[in-house]
Amino acid sequence: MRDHNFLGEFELMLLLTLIRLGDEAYGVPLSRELALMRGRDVSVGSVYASLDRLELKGLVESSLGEATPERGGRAKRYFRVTEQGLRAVHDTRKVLSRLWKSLPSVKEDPA
Amino acid sequence: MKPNLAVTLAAWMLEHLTFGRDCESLSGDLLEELVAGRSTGWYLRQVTISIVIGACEAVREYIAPLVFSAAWSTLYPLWQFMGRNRFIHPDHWVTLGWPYSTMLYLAGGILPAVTFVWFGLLVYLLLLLRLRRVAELSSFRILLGLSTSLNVLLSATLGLFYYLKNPAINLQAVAPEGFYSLFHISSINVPLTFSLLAAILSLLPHAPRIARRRKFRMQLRSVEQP
Repeated sequence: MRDHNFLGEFELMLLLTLIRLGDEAYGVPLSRELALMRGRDVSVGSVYASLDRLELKGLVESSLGEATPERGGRAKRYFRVTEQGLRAVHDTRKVLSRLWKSLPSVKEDPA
Repeated sequence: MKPNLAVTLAAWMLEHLTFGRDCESLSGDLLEELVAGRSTGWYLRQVTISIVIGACEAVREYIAPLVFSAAWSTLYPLWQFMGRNRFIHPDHWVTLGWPYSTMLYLAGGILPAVTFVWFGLLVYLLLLLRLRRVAELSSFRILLGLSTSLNVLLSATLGLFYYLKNPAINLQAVAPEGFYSLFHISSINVPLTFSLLAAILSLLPHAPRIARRRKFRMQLRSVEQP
């Protein structure tokens, strides 16, 4: 049996945002982009918790970057999607696309 | 921007109440947002949420071994029934001289419980392997897990003896017809659960997040010392 790694809604959004941001993906731009896309504020802690889980699954990898004065000398942690992560996004997309095909259309409200 | 006392205290709390996670980068991100114009209220709210999330994640890591250990320990009567007279039969030791007879007598009492715990450990590991959650498993870790479970089982059993304060119970009751009997069905779950939980945690001593935290520290050191 093939080992599938289907993603939850937030995990999928996070991975797509990581792909979108490319090499510049660390906590601050990730949270801002996610907040912009979702239209509501995102807790940076929940972003890190999800990234931790994704890293444990091998879908994301991280490396330390530079420490800047406005960060109080704390290093940035850059994230990038692994090959396995990319495959998981594609697998999830395929399943969701198949499921969405059977979604009935909503009738227009005459009012 | 000069951070106020509340921000300094919150940053300290975030970096020290980590529950095995590394919050240095997260702390840096929140400070960066604060400098960029976010309010102190926003910062404190984010810190609180992050600490709560960290605590929940830490609990989640230990909940699976705990639930498995507790559930497995309830199967002990079945194990006892299946293994009746299969471990060390009383006839085996009465013919032997001292100290072998005493050693076998005690072993006869402990062996069913120990083998039950070790079998539970094997089942848990097989489940982990099936879920591909076991990265590496050295023979040292296996031996550590087995010996820890035995020690915890004996210690917890003695602790239970003391707790029950039953004058009829003494160390000699650690025998097939004694302590590990149906009479103590609810209380024997406690040492069995602790023993299996200790074995699982010994065998997999570094929770993934703690292991990652160590990796992060090493990375940080290599960045600081080019």
